Amino acid sequence: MTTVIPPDGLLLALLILPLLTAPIVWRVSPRWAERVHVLSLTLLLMLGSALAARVSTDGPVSAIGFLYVDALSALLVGLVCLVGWGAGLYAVGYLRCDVSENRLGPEAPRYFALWYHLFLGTMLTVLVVENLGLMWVAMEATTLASALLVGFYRTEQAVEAAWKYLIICTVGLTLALFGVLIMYYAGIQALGSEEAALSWRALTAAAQRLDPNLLKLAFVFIVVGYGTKAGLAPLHTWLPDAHSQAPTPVSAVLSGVLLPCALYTILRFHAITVGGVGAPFSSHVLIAFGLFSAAVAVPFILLQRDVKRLLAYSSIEHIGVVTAAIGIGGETALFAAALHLVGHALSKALLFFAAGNIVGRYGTRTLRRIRGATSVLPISSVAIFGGVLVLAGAPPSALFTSELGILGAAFQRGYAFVGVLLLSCLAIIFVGLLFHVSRLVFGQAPAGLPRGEHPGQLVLLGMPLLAVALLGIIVPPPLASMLRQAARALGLP
Amino acid sequence: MIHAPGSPSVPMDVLSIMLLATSLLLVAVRRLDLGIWLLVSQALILAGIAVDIALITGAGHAWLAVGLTVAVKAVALPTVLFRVLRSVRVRREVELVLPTKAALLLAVGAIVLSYHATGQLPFPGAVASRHALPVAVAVMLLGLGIMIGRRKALSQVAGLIVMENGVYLAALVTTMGLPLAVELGIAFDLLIGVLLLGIFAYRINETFDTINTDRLRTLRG
Repeated sequence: MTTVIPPDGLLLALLILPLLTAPIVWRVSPRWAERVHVLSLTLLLMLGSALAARVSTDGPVSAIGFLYVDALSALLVGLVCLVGWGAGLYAVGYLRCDVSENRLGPEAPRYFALWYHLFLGTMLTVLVVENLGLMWVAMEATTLASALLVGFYRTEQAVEAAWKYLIICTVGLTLALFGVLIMYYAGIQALGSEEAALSWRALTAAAQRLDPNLLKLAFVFIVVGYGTKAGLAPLHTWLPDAHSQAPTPVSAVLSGVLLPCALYTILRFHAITVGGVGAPFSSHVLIAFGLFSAAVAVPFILLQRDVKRLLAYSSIEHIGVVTAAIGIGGETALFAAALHLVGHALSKALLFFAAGNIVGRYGTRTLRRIRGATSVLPISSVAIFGGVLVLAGAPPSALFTSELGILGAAFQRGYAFVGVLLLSCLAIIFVGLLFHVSRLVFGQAPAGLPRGEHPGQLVLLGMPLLAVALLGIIVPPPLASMLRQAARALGLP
Repeated sequence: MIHAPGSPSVPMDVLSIMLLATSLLLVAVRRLDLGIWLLVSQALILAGIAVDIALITGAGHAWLAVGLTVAVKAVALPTVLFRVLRSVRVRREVELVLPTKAALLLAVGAIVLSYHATGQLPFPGAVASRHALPVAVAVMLLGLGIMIGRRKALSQVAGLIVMENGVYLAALVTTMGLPLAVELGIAFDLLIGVLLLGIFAYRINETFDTINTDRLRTLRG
C-alpha cells in the first residue's frame, strides 16, 4: 500500500475517511454501523501507519498547500490511529453490554460512532494543518466533537462533567486564540504576507525577525490556553471529571491522544519562541507548568476514591512529566519525551480498558468497594496490575526508559533541582498507584458476582502490555529513528 | 498588510466605547432576555467596526467579515439562545456570586488595568484608534468575569460570547481580522459550541430541575 498511493493522497485519505465514516455509521442499521465502524478504524490504522512509515523514510509530506506532516506530526498521527483503533474495537463490546443492560438505548451505539469518528478526524486535522489559525479551529472542534461523548450517559454527573469540559476548555481556547492573534500580528509585521504569517514553518524559519516581546506575550497566552486542553495544572479541573464520566473507550482516547495533541500545538509555538528569543524563556515556562502538574497530581492520587479519577490524575502527572522534559530540552530529553508519549498512550489505554471491565462487573467506580478482582476477572486483573507497574515506571517498561532519560538529561543540563522534584513525584505516585491497585486486585471478592471473562480480552489487554514492556527492553530501529526525527523536528538546540 | 497608521478613526473610537458600555451593562443586568439583546447589540457594533475597517482599507475580505458577523453573532446565536431560554423557562439571574455594585467596581478596575497594560504592549502603529485595543482586552476580561460571577448556565454562555467578542475586536483592530478561512472556521466553531452549550443547558435543566451551575457540585477531588 505504501508504494501504490502517493504520500499526499495518503494524507488526504486519512483526513477524509473519518469524516466520510461518521454520517454512514449514523444512518445505517446498528449491525452495519458496527461493521463499518470497525472496518473504517482498521483502514484508518493502515493509512496512519503507512503515512508514518513514509514520513520516517522519505521525510516530510505536504498536500494542497496547507497540510504538512513532519516526523513529530506523523508520530502522533500514528498514535491517534492506533489508540483510536484499539478503543474503537473495545467500544463495540462495551456498548453492546451497556445496551443489553439498559444503561443505553438501542440507538446509542450509532450516535456514539458518529461523534467518535468526528472526534478522531478533528484530532488528525490538528496534527496535519500547517496554519496556526486552522490548527486552533481544529482544536476547538475536538472539544465540540467530544463533548457529547463525555456526556454520553445523561446522568447528573455526566451532564456536569460535559458542561465543565465545554466551558473550561472553550475559555482556555479563547485565550489561546488571543495568543494566535498576537503571533499573526508579529508574523505580518516581520514577513509582510498574510499567508506566511500563520504558517508555523514560515514563522519558525523567520523566528529571529519576529518581535521578541510579542513572541513572549503570545507564548504565555498559548501555554495557558492550550495548556487547559492539555490538562496542565492549575487549569486541569475539567479533566478528572471528563475522564471519569465519559464512556471508558472515550476516556482512553482523551487521555492517551487528546492531551498529546493539545501539547503538540504548544510545541509548535515553543519552537517559534525558542528561535526568536532563545531557549530559556519558553523552556522555563514549560518546566514550571510541567513540574506543577506532576506535583498537583500527587495528593489526588494518594487520597483517591474513584478508580477512573485515579487514572485521570495519573494522566495529569504524565503530561506534566512530558512538558517538563520538553522544557529541559536536548536530544536525550526530547527523545525520551516522545517515547514517553507512546508508552503512556498504550499503557493508559490498556488501564482504562481493564478498569472499564472491572467497573462494569462490580457496578461501582469506588475503589473501596472493589476487592479481589483476580478471582472475578482474572485477565483484567493481571492487566491492570501489570499496566500500573509499567505506567509507574517499573522496568522493563518504555516509561522506565523514558523517565530515566528525562531525569538523566535534567541532571546533565543543570536542572538538578527539577530532576529531584520530578523523581520524588514519580516515586510517591508509584507507591500510591501500587497501593490502590493491589487492594483492588487482591483480597476477598464479594459473593454473588459472575466470574470469568471473554478470552478475547487476553489479546486486547495483553498486546499493549507486552508492547510497553518490550519497548522498555528494545526500541525497534524504525520506531527509534521516528522518535529521533520527531525530537529533531522540534528544531530545538 | 497592515494599514498605515493614519489619524485616529472617530467612528471606531465611538463604537469601541459603545462595545465597552454594553459589556458593562451585561455585568449589571439580571434579566436573561435583556442580556441576549445586549449580545445582539454587541454583534451589530462589531459589524459597524468591521464596516469602518472595510471603508478605510477597501479590502473586499473585510466586507465578508461584516456579513459573517451579522449572520452568526447577530442572528444565529441569539436565535439559539432565545430558544434555550424559552425551553428552560428561566427569566432572571437571582443569586449572584457578587452584589452588582461590587461587580461593577471590579469591572471598572479591569478597564483601568486594560488601558494601562495595552499602553505598554509592543503594538506599534497598527491601531487607528486610541480606544479599540484597550477596550478589546477589557471586554475579554469582563466576559471572563461574567462567566465566573454568574450561576445560570445561560449567563455563562453569554460571558463566553462577550469574551470572544473581545478577541474579535482585537483581531479587527490589529490585523483587520484573521484570514477568511480561519474566520469562517472560528464562526462555525462558535455556532456549534453555543448549540452544544444550549443542549447541555437544557439537559442540566432536565436532570437537575434548575439551570444553576452551582448545583453542579458532585464531582470533587
